[in-house]
Formats: sequence, C-alpha cells, structure tokens
Amino acid sequence: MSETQPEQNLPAQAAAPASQPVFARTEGMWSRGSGDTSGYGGLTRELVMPGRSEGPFGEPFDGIHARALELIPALADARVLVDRGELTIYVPREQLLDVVRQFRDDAHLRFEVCVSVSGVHYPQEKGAELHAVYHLLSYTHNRRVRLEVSCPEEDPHIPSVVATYPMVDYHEREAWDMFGIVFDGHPSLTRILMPDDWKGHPQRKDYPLGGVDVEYKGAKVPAPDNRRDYS
Amino acid sequence: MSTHAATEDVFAGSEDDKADRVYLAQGGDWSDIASEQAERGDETIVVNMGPQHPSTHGVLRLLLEMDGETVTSIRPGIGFLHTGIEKNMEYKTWTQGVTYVTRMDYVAPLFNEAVYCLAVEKLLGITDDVPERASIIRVLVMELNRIASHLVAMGTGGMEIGALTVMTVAFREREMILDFLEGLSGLRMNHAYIRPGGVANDLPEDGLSHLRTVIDWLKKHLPEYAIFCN
Repeated sequence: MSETQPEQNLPAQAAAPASQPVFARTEGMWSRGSGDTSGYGGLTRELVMPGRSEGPFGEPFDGIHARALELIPALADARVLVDRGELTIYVPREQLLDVVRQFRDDAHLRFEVCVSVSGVHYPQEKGAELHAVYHLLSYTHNRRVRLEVSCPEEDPHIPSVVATYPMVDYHEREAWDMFGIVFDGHPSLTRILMPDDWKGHPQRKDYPLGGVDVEYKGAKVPAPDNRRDYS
Repeated sequence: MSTHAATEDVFAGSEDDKADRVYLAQGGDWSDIASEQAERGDETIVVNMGPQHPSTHGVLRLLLEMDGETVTSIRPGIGFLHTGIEKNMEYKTWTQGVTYVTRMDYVAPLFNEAVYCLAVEKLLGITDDVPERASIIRVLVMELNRIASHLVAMGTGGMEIGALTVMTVAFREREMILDFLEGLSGLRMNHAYIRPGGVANDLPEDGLSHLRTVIDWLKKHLPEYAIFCN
C-alpha cells in the first residue's frame, strides 16, 4: 500500500483540450444554489461541449459527409462531429432547406424520415443560444444522421422543413412552444402543449421550475409555494 | 333572446376580444335551435370535445369545426398530460431521472427506464461496464412488461367492442406479472428499477420460482383469449 500514489484516490479528471470551449462550471453535486447536503460541496467540474471532428470519420459517415459536400458545396466549412458513434452536421440556417431536400431526395443519402426535432437552449453560447436538432433516418440504407441548426435569441428564426418532412409539423410546434424558436414557413405555428395565451417558453434554461402563477380567464392561481403561509 | 345563445360574450376575460355570439349549454328545444340556425344561415358550428371526453383514453381536447355532421377541420389539444419531465430533470441527478422517466408511459415503464439508462450510459461512456447479469435481467423484465402492456392493449380493445370479459381476464393476467415485478422492485408500476449502470437490485431469492408460476399461469390462461374474441 505504501506505493499508492495520492492521486489514485482522487476521481479521474478529464482534461479538456484547448479546442473545446468550457461553457459552464459547476460546484458541488447540484449546481443551482440548492442546499447541498451530499458532502460533495467541494466538487468543481468544467462542462465542455465536444468540439469538431476532422475526417476520416469511418464508414458510413465518410460516405454521407462526402456526398453531402458534393451536393451542397456551401457545407464545406460546416462543423462536423462524430461522437459516440453518431454523426452530427452543423448546418447554417440559410442552407437548411436545401440540405434537407437533398438529404431526402438523393439516392445515396435517402433520409426518408425526420424522426424528431428537438429544441435546445444554451444560454452560454452567445449569438447561437437556441438550437434545433433534426434526427434523420434512412430506411433504405438503415442509418442515421443528425443535423443541428442554431439561431440567436434576438432573432429566433429557422426555416420550417415541413414542406420536405411533413411529419415534423408537431415537433416544430413543440420547439416553438417550449423554446420560442420561430419556424418560418410552418403551416400553423401555434402552441401545442401550453395554452394559447401562455406567456414565455418553459423549457428555456432561464425559465423557472415551478413558482409560476397560473392565470385563467382573469382569475389567478398562485404557485404552490405561495399558496399558504407555513410559518 | 333565446336561452341557448347569447350575443354578449360571457366567457371572455376582461382583456380578451369579445366574440359576436356564443352558444350556451342550457339546452332547449331542438327544433328552436335548428330553426334559429337555419335563419342565421351559418352552418359551421365549432364543437369543443373534451378535455375529458370518456372515449378519449387520457385527456384529449378536440376542437371540431362541423358543417352539419361533417367534420371540416380539427385541432387537437394534446398538452393536458404534459408533466414537464424534461424541465424537472434539469434539476436532478442521472439516477434520480429514472424516477421521472418511468412515469412517461405507465403501461410500459421499464422500457422508458431502459432507453433512458442506455442513453445515460452512452453519454458517460460506461456502456461496457454494465454487468452482463444486469443486462439479462433488464431484458427479462422488459419482456414481462411487454406481455403486460400487450394484455392491456388487448383487454381494452376487447372492451371497446363490448367484450368486457376480455378486459377483466387480461387485467387478471397482467396483475400476475405485476406481482412478480412488485416482488422484484417493490412497486407494481413506476418501478424505477433499471438504473444507469445496471439495475437497482438482484432477483429476490424466490424470484425464478415465482416467475415459473407466473409463466404456468399465462400458459394456462392465454388460450382463452381466442375463444373470447372469436
């Protein structure tokens, strides 16, 4: 036991390469200022996003990426990431409509289905706070690819891909409802889960969890923690 | 002014725009309502179906635009069952998250847990560290959950066409499976049994013998369904 190095008793620290920007630091087990009684209060972690990958990515990703560049030369500068065996292409929003149409129609790509559109909110990424993530699936080739599009909070507009993938109608409505991303060209971009007259977009990171008064026809129901005095 | 329609919009809040005409649910003589509609020449009626209509299986609201008896447009309100699970889990640890995802679909909770845990394991890079025994137990409980879930589908399907007994026997068989899952995890449903890295606990001592009695029971009773349905 005498040879045991002290650092072996510490948790492994993943060193972040310089290319990966640290977007947040957390302290303790719970980072949001809650009363932390876990004993891990001294824990400090740096949160990094996976950066970008350089080719070759291995098949089938190389094939997909090469074909995409061939069809849409404007994607040449686009960030590509292969992480945990999944390919993500970061598409500028101006190119999105062109990209999805080619990805659906080209015989070598043939992504017939957009399985899901997810909204994400990164308040730390200045100028690209809101992301829409498109999960594409090709039945023909049995493979998947992910497209990620970002827009700033001040100008939350992304073109709608409903014309190409009709199945994303409700997904885009949900991303509008929960994150406030405006999908230009959507046939009826209305709230889908929250009431029509709701104010705010609940899944943004700065939206509070609970503590929101509910208003209905002029009557106000206070949030549960304000309903009575427990003192 | 008739009793079933009002020119003053009593439903509008103080800040809402007033509608020019609202319909009330006080009832009235059907021929009066029909003749009044004929005079008005306005054939389109907006019907608010739900949010708690008995045939909707869960809370669904449909806004129907009707031309006579033909539905010309429909707008579903699907948000009544939304519970903000994603938002809640921003404030939880990976392990605590299982408690939430198991409630996403209460007839197939173990599948929700399994896909969530597989994703978390992939994110943390610990997929290969999951013990083989835990993986096998995961598959075992998922298969049992699948049978239980299909029994609910079949039973309620029978109920829909008037075969109520199919429902009662299907729920009886399902309860046998839930008994096993309760012995395993402590809960009939919403088990939170599959956890990132494995499962919450090993099979109980009498687990496999209990499972064999469940399977014997199912083998005996599942053939009844064809008789009930055909």
